[in-house]
Amino acid sequence: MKIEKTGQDSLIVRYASVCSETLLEKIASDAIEARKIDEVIESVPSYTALWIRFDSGKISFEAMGERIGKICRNNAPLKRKNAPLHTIEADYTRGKDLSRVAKLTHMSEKEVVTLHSTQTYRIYTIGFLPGFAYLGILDPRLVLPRKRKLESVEAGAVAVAKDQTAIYPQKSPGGWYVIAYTDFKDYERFETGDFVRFQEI
Amino acid sequence: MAFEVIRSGLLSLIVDEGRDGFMHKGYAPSGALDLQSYRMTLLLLGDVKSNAVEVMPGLALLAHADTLAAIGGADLDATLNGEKLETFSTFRIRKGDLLEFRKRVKGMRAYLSVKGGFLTKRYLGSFSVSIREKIGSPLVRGQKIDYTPFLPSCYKRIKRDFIPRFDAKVTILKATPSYQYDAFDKTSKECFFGALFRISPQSNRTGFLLEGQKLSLPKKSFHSEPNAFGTVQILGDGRPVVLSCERQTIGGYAKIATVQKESCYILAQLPPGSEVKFEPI
Repeated sequence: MKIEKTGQDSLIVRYASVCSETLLEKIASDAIEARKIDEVIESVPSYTALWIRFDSGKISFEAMGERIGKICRNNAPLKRKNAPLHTIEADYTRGKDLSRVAKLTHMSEKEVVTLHSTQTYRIYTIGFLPGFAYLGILDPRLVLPRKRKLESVEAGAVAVAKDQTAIYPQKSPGGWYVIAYTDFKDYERFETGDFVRFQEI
Repeated sequence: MAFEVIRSGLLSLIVDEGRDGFMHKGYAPSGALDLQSYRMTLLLLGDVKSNAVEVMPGLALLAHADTLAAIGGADLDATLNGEKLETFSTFRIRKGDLLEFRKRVKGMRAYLSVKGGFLTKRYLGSFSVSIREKIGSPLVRGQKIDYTPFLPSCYKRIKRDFIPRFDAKVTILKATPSYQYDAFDKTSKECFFGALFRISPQSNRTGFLLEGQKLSLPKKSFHSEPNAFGTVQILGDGRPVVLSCERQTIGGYAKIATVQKESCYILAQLPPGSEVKFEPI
């Protein structure tokens, strides 16, 4: 575990080099504990790290690092209740890239839909846009690199790229393959570590 | 009681110190790009927790009520009823006055505030608009920005020796190498802390893109990690970008260094084409 400076008032705790659901749960839990500290302004968990922005006028990097280190190194069983599950209704008939994905992965559209909708995902981090949750891990048979050219993506687009899937919370340029649409809009409830499933409608 | 936007100009928006505590939900902090000039402008009014308009050239406002106003930041040839106003000073606004920011003279963004601030909507605790995230929107013609009328009794200005300067031929950006710095090869490291870069016209509130020598990307790839203010990412084509207020909160590109806040405030005042150089600290 390494704690490193990322600016005059921020630091990052890097737990490991490989992701795992257990690690994700630990990081998500530590983020909540860290947020309780008065001097902490931001507490952002992601994949294998926890980033903290603190009030450098009130506390030094060294002192903050010590306090955060204590939380992160504490391997006590997680007190957090089970993370919530969000069920997202997805209309795969409106996925404009579905046939493209099927072709590129050498599967039928039905197989792509099944593989995508029968997996339970975790939110590994939230970023890029408010409410944009990076969901993993995508079934390895669906893995594709991001598109080379960005295209306009509508709000509610359910998309895939590399080993992840996500929902675009607003219209935006995007490089992920759109395989469905959803009317889900409750992005405010997403927290890193939560479970997500897609339900075909 | 308000300013009425007669001309919206290039891009003007309501800002404050930014939106704290929501990065884990994907919200960029946003806020004033040049926090130093912003704070000095509010200080002149005796306000601390307030807001301002971040002004770019072309903005014209018609006052519908009296107040005390202050401007700071860039010199955008600000005039009141045609008469030149000094930057980093307060002045009386009377009902019917026309306040204009005509053209760029020095710097890029000015700050305009009034005693008591503008009565605009907060979103998640902050008045600051975020263009990229579509939180609020920039000022448009016909819009009214409300304020509480105020009768000034004294005026202040900051001595010229103490106002921020952004007119160096080559601006030095003080930067600390990041924890990913050693993943870059020797040539790229020397290029980063040695070469002259120019600010691209594609720069905006999200970040400042730099043209010049391109760096080679590290062979090692990193997980996407949260982005601090001033983080320098190296894009796929080798160009550095200094991340700013409306940056994406999570970034997958390699980060070579973090620019000190004070240098970031100056960076926001440099026009496209300006030369900059990174200096390690």
